[in-house]
Amino acid sequence: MKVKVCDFSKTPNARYRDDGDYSGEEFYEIFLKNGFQQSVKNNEKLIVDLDGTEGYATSFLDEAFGRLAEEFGPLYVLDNLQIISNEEPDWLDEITTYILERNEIK
Amino acid sequence: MQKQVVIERKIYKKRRKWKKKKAKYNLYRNLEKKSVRRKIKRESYKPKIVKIPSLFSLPSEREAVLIFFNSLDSVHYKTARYLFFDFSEVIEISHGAITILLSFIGWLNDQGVRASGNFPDDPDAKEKFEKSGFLEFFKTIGKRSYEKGMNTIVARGEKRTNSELSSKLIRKSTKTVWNIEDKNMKVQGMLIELMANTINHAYAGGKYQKGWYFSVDHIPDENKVKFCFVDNGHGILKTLRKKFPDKIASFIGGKFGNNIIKRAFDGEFGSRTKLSNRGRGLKAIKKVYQLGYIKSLKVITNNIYYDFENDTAEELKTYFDGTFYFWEIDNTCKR
Repeated sequence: MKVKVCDFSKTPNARYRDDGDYSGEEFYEIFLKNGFQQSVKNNEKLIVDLDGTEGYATSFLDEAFGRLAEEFGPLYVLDNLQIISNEEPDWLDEITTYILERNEIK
Repeated sequence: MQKQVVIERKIYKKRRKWKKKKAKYNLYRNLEKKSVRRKIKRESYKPKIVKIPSLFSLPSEREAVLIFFNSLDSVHYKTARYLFFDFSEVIEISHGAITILLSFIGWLNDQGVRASGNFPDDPDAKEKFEKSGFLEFFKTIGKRSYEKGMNTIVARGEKRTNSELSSKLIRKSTKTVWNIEDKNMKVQGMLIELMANTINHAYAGGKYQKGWYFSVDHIPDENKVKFCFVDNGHGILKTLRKKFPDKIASFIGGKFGNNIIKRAFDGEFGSRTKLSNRGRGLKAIKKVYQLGYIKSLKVITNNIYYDFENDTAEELKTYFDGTFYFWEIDNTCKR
């Protein structure tokens, strides 16, 4: 399964819904969480495509992928997630750090 | 018995007399209070004239401009409901100073204070002033000679970030620099970081209303665009989660204090939220500069002026409550 951030918004914003429209929190709750659950059900990796937007703040990515790690566990997320970022390849390492820094909340 | 009645009557009369006297005294006192109050009210609606310094330019004339902004704090807003900014003697003016002034006027408006002003007499300064876009938010007395150019001052962002607006402004700026309207993902990310920092940290627990101001100064002849971003919150140094030795260093100031701002942009301090995954915004801003997407990055916050180009942090004599960012993009930058 593939999730494109540009289908959510061309101009992703900051961390929380309160910060403004198209936040990382909103992306996680509407797109990422459901997409991940569905791809796990289908025994496949979730592909998240970061290309095609106007740019990202660290807080957006940290909230979206960090929350995913908190919900499903960092290692499980890394095993079942593939990120595409051809326009800004440095996000790949950054997002891995965001995921590993979080602890699973049970 | 009769004697007692007489005494009681005397006491009663004395009391009545004293009460009458007191009532008369209170009446005069209240009248005086009312008249004084009326006078203060009348006076407060008279314009209080504020002279703008002749070199009104940031970051170049930072000390003089910051002294001016600090002097504005001494204006008593309860007795001054109308400020008139006199620009007549201004010979040099920059977007940076105008943007801070705009943020200050936004705060004044929150207090119910009206603000207006005149134009600089100097023709060059007047042209720059009128083309800046400042007049969209500011009433002036006098005739305009120039229409607003491509330059944009974005008014207060209130309590939210606005990634759509920032992307539009970035696309316009790439048109000026590279003659192609295109996105700039790193600069867009940086602007969202700045806006989010303002919303989440700059005003934490403070008396001021949240808000950011962003200005873009297009210089098509040089294929260059200058950016300013201002918030009049608490400033970076006050909002860092410092440990005890750093608090001491910050208090001592000098090179100890200057070092703190450098370390803040290296991501050494956590966020005041105390969450481990926070406090990355400043580091991300520095990274955009280091990667060459922007140049001439300068920051003024609290009593520090940090120039990223030569990595020097200078202690200012004048304090600035808030944070001011300045940077440029030209065709030598990455896109």
